[in-house]
Amino acid sequence: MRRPAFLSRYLLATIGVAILLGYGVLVAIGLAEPSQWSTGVYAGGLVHGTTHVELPPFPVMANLDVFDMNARSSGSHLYLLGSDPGGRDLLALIARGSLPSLLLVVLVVVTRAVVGTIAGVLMGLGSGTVRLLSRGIGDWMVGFPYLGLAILLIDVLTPRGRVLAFVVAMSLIGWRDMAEVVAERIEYVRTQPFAMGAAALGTGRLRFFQLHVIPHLRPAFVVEVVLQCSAVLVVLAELGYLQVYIGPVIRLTQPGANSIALLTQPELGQLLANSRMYLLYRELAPFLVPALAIAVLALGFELIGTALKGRWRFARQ
Amino acid sequence: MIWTNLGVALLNLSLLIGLSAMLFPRASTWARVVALAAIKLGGVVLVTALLVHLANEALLSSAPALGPITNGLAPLPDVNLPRISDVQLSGETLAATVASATFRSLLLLLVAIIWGVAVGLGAAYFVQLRRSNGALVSVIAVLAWVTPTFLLAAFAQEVQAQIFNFTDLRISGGYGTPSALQAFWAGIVLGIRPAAYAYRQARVALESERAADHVRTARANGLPWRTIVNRHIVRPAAASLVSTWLRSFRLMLGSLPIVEFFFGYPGLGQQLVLALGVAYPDQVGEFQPDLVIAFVVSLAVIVVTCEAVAQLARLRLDVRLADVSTVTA
Repeated sequence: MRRPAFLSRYLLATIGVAILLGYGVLVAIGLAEPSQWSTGVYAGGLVHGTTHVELPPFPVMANLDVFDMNARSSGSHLYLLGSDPGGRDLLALIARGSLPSLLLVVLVVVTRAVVGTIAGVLMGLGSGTVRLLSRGIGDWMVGFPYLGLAILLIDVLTPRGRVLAFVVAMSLIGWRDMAEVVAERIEYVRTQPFAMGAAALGTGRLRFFQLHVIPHLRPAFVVEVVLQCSAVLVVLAELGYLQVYIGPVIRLTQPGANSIALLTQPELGQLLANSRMYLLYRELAPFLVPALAIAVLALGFELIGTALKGRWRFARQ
Repeated sequence: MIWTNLGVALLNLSLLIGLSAMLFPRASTWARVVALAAIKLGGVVLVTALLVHLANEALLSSAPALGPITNGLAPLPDVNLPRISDVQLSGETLAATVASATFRSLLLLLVAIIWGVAVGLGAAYFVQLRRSNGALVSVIAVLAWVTPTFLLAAFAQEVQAQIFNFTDLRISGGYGTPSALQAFWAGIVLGIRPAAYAYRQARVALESERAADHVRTARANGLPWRTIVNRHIVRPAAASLVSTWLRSFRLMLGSLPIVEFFFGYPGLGQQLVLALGVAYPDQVGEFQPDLVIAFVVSLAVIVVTCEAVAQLARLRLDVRLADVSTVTA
């Protein structure tokens, strides 16, 4: 027997919300840890109660008596998710890195929503020439490889501020999806009999938009915003992997000679900047933990978006 | 300057094609598609040249802040910015570099397209044919979609390692030099997310076609389900499926830099990323303006050509679109 559609939707939404809540709890635990575990650099640690010395990156679930570069004891600590090559707790780094990353995601999604809505309204409600032009610009933008364009824009805008550069670059490469959704909804409404009735009654474009378009646009818009969150997170991770990230770093060795960049202000994308090195030396935890954190976060948003999309389609039927 | 001239020349070409379409209305569909492609390419060339110029200026202005090298240690920049390369490439070297990189990338894309389309669109077709809700395939598609490409690549590398551990077979295809095995693995990784995207979009297109009145009529007439799917669902949705394929191809091209960078495959994507100043851990990044423009333009040529072909295919596959086009002409 087939499961009713609304049950699948509720299941998806529940899993999505549970994932985001679980992530939130993990972040709260990480934030509750003293800041020394995400800011200090540690040379190694004695496995608790033994004389066995572990060198960073420490493995997952390592309980160590940590010491610094001068062999001074820095206290005992349980590394729930392991550590980076500086001996910093990955859980604390992810917790602290999630906040600026999620703030960046919010800023990018809001900018994409604003630009996309304006462009979508122009595509859907503008005059023939305006529609042709706005559609043309949207089509033309996809001619660029999105990662290349993002890196180029970040380079161009970095003198005006790194965060601004990221927001502008990541918004510019992704506003088109939002614009397409808005334009598609407007075109759908325009072909309906009530829209023709409104036009016959002399309703102005703004009033028409307010009365007839917004109620039809709202559900699709909310779905797209949620899906955009997961898309932005994935792009952030990919840029991080390509060593394009927001914050400043400390280099452990001379640049150009297998240097490892340590974070001073952790951010999720930046945590992935040394992924190649970790993979090369088979240190999987410092690579997998931030990558999976981003994937899990994106999955939470995606499931909620898919559930909302199903609800919207269900309501239309 | 040469890039600006090329951009302007492409825009002029589009104008000429547009004018000639007025003189020969029978060829107007083709002419419009080609003219649009030329406009897009011209725009890409001009904007890329402008952005590269601005990026060059920005990197130059941030360079003095780094200060001199002292005590054998380079000073620390505030952010991870590349140096500007002072190597001037001749036109021939540039053309040869771009041509070889393009050829390698096309090979990779071919592998990714073949398996990506086969898996993505094929899975949507079979789910439709079996009249199931495709829950398991949908879950796999969602998981593939939310996983960053480099994580998929790392997983592929792990699979290679495990196969070697169990069978002593070297199947990785080496590193840094193009080989068939390398193209195979990179192509597989490159096609995973586009395949997931193609599956999800194709399912939506096929489901919406399945709800159409003519499908209900065909079922009422007692036609076998396979015939209904092939003749009354897939055929009318063919234009949407072509659009889906095109979008997943664009996605594929977008992920090309990261996949090639990961596998060390010297194609357009990897070369573009390196020219943008992104470096491997044992290298120093250098920003190479001419190469950046050349690689972006090459990638744009691939996208624009595929878009033009897809547009013509859509016109042939969807009678309604062809009618609109004829009326417009």
